[in-house]
Amino acid sequence: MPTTRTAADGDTLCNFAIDAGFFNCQALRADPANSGLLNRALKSGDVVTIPDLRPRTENCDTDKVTKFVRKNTPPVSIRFVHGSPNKHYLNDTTLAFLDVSNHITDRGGPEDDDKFPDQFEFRQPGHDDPDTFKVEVVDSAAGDSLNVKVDALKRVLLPDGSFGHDVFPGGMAAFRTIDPPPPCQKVRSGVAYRSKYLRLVSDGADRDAKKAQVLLVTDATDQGDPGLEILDQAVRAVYEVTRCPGNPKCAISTTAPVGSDTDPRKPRQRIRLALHVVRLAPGGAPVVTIANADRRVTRWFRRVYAQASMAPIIVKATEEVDPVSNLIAVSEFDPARPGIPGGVSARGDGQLGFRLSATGLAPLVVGPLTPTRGDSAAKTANALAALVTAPYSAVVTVNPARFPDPPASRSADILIKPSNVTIDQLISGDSRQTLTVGRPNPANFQSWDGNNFLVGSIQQRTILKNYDSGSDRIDVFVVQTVTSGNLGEAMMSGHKIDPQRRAIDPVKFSAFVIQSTMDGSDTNPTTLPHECGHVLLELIHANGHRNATQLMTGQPIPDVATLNGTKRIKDGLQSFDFPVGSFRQLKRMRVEGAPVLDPF
Amino acid sequence: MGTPQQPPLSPGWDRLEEFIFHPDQYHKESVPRGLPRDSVAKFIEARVVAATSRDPLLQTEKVVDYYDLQEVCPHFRLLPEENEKNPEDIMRSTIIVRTFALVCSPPDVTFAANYAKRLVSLSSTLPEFQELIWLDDILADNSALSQLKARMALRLRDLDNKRQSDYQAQLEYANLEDTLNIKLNRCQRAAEQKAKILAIPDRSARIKEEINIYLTIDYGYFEFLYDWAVRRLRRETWGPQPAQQIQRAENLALRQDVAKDFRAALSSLVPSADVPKENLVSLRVRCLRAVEYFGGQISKSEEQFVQKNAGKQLDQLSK
Repeated sequence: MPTTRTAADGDTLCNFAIDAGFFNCQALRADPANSGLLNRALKSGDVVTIPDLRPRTENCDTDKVTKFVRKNTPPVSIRFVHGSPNKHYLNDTTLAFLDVSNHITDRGGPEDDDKFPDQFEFRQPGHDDPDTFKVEVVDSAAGDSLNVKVDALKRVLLPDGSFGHDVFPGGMAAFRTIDPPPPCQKVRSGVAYRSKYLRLVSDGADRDAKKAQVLLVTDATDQGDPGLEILDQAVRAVYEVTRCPGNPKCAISTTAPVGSDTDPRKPRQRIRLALHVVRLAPGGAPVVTIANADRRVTRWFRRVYAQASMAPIIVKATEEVDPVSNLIAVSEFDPARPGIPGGVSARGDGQLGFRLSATGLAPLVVGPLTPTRGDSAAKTANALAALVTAPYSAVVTVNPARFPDPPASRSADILIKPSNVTIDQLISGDSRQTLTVGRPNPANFQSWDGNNFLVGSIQQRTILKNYDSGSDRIDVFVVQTVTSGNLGEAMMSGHKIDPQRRAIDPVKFSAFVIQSTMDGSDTNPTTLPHECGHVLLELIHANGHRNATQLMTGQPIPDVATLNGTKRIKDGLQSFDFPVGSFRQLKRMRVEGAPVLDPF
Repeated sequence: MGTPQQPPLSPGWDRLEEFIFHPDQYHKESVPRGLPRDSVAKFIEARVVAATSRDPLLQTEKVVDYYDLQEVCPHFRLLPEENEKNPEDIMRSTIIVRTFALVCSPPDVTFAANYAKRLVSLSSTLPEFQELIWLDDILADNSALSQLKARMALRLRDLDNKRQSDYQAQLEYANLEDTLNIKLNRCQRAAEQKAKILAIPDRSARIKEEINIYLTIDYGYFEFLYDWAVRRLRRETWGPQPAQQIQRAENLALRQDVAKDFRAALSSLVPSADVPKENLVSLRVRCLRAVEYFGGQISKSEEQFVQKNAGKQLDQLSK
């Protein structure tokens, strides 16, 4: 007597038929009760009628051994596997999620020294990348080879309020599928088929480098969906069952999410960012538009960090900020002579003072005062700040020492409010302790140098002490250019670089990047990710083997995203120039960068 | 036919190439140390030319200064071409002439002083003035400083007319005003201090003052005195008195004297108005490194002390 089964998503007539003992779904298709199910995939809730098996008699000699083979076992199935050198296919682990690869797309081996293998069988250089995967189909009646369709799915909100995945619309889908559909070849067991090693990549240059073996999982910022996450997407593999007599044929599929919160190697996390675009003059034009600055984050930053299973989150609406000149440093070193001492105590042989003025406010002459010999910069700064009276106010912060200076030789900054104040008529008569006004010039912003990158130049400090929005995110400031000619400059914490000279709160976990890296083009796409890498890793530059392909290389960053460009975050040990050593970046950025990370 | 073989790179050329022409911003103050002098000189002669741009010239200046590289004087004498056409050219020439004046002999310094006058007369912007102040500091030439002051005053008047409507002019005006009022004055005060120290006839007493500057004790105006003191301490090993310290010469005994004076400074380091207690360890590291730099011996435990406490501290007089 016929029975019925209620379908779930992913079920097929062939699966139901094979489960019931049929070779394929021919009998189910012939049953009039199923006539409404023949031209589409089954969906959750469909009721499928399973007809009775029809007994058949086979005659054979009783004095001979006769072998009967069940043509419908094992059941048709599909899954993602990484593969292994010596396990039977049945014993290989099914991958519950897939990760974006950290390797050079067309290279294999732990150090990318081999070609990426394009064979079906086990190959060590493909196996060495833990992010490679294969599609495995089990079908006892599929011939010598078969093809599967592999594509990326976007996250969608379902009617019941939960989230699922669906295909990308139209043209976006065409780039997010492996084309042509990857073939799978029979493995030695005789019933399982496997594809070649496959990889997930996040940009077009990587996709084009090995089209037949990579799937693009990328953003859709320029397609009008900047909120689309790479790490929210899923990968689907579909196999049209060869033996199915239907048209369309029954297709079985498997889906795995991109990244996982429980991945022990690189669990999904978010990097907290706040962007500030500096105006060329107070009230003037910003060096880039807010939209373009955000675009660099949702496009390139997202793509680069997807390989580390990290995604950006902008925690504060991107803003335009004025270059203000409201900071006075006590015992600032001279930026033209980075080797000379800074942060020295007073000699007590001269006066210090200045004048404050602002639109609508009466000017205020501060001091002059004569510090006592031996007064630290902090003491002098506090003494001067105490002389600042309403409507003006002053706050003192003490900077860390620079590398040439002993740890207690710390300069101090006085930040005056209102921020549109003008500070002039400087009196700086002490032979040791000088006064210097921070006057940021966004058109040619003063860089840090090799001695003060945990302190910041006076211009950097002026911006940071006015606009830094917290130490639980990376504050990024966009300026036109910087004096060193760099594309960007990071302000690291420094607790591992030099614990005695570590950066202070408004300064650490920040970065300055120049206009051309944050404009509406795709020039220098990895600059922002690189600078944030310093902050996350508490490391300076990658060196050693193949460092020019690493995100954290000290080599020049190419103008465009290329296959061999500076964008990889290596899985294994990577050597660095400071602190000197070899580090596992995926782990280190989750430890050192923890203050600016959120769960996904 | 085989491919002609590239001549092997001389020792350290790769490091010099990186430091001068492609410096990593994080390491651009760390001159490659311990390289053979002749190799360094040959590299600079081969790679630094009249058209070399400003940043590599600034890096070159650090190398020439660190090695007291008098070998490059004939080469540098030929680089300025008296054809500066814009502020960038003027700054490049200023750095070239300054590098030359740092290490070369009195006739060369006279040439540099004359060339400086030409550069000052052409200068018109704050970045040029700033480079020229450092040149005047090296030349210790008061007349050049007065000439520079006049150029700066002229520029200040020009900017005064623009600064209400032009933010860049406003910035330059404010910075130039501070430079004119403060920095030039400090440069002059520092020059007086230098003259006083050079006039100390007792070598050991003079070295003691130079060491004090190096340890930031007693003195000020460090932006002008500090590098000068470092240079002076190296020159104290060339001859007994400043007049005999013109030509670089290896003199083991004189080196040992300076090492001994650093030893003495080390043992007399105590907290004072100029030396906070928290800085003592760092200054001891600085002294011990200087002892080694000048050929003195440090014990195993001192070596361990340096290793433990140096961190990323950058000391100019260290190996």
